[in-house]
Amino acid sequence: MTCDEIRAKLTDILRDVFDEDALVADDSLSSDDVAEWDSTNHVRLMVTIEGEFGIRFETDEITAPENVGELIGLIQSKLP
Amino acid sequence: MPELAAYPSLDRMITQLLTLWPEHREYVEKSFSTRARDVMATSEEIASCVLRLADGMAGGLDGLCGDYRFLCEKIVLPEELHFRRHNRYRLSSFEDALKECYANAPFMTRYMNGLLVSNVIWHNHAAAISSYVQEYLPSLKAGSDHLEIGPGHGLFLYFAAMCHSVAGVSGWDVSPTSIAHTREALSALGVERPTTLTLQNLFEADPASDDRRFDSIVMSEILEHLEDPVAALRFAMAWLKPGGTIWVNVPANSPAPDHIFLVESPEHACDIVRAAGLDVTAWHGFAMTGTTLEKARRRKLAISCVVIGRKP
Repeated sequence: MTCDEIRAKLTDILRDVFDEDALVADDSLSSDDVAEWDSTNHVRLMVTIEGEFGIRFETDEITAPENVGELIGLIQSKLP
Repeated sequence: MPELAAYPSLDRMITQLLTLWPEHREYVEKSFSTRARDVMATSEEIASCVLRLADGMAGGLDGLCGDYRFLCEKIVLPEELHFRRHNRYRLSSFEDALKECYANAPFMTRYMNGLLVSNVIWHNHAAAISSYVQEYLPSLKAGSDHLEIGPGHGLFLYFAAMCHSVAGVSGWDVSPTSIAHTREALSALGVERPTTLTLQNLFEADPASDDRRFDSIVMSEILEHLEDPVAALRFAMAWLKPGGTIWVNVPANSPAPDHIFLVESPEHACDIVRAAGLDVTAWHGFAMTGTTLEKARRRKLAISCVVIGRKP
């Protein structure tokens, strides 16, 4: 899966998890930019990503990404 | 941050917490930005209690704040992850909770200290206590005998002891350590009126051989720790006078290492109270910080469910 394909899928997930239709998975997007991106919703986001991409994060990876760019990199590293 | 000049205890506590954990500012701001005036008033009272309790603790307020951070980052987060992945709590038996948590004294101390602070910081915890202080206690008739099952940190008994219409204040707990802890807390909070704290297992107490009966019973954050909450409420109801009330506070969708019974909504909490044979006279759902009740229901987020049941 290419980086752009991951980004497109991640955009849909972000919009669904945070109920914000205008969200776009830009590399710089972070929890600072989304009002509802708190610790609980972050876990919801990561578990939704696990389900949608068929991957599994280690516990310490859940809180590691600082922004969407790092998140895409983490997803890419988990894909076969 | 909302203006806290009128709330000196909150101001001191939050200033200290954010000095030690500046990254928590956004959450705290969110939690306090939507609090109604009555919830702010209760929050100030709780913060005042926490500060007085902190004075008697080895680590003081810094230690409490550290334990609160430990609760958020090291205890709740892994449980939240399990809950989201599997749609259930990690443990389901009291025996497992006993082995993993209750028997681990150092862990329990940090866990309980963290929860004490959460009563100020987490919106749903503060709102539930506020409904107890501002709505439930004033509704009790003069001369009420009041019992709390599992009084823990002692805050609910403290507020009952401060209520003029409450004549008798009692607490039951299965743990001698907890009884001692509650006694110390009430003393530190300056409760001077007699308070009867008894080592008593609710499931073993025999109402047939004991003529004590209560006008009011509180079970706050107890049912989620039990395998059969309906049975627990039935046992508790046997100690109520006819027309007496039980004030239940139980969290829905709130994973924690010792939560074994999953309540899914305020309606589910009401069903549990009704199944025990009580009439539900009022209920509230207080959503976790930063969300609405509607969103919390849809996303299965934590909701503090307050239910008042009346014995027919």
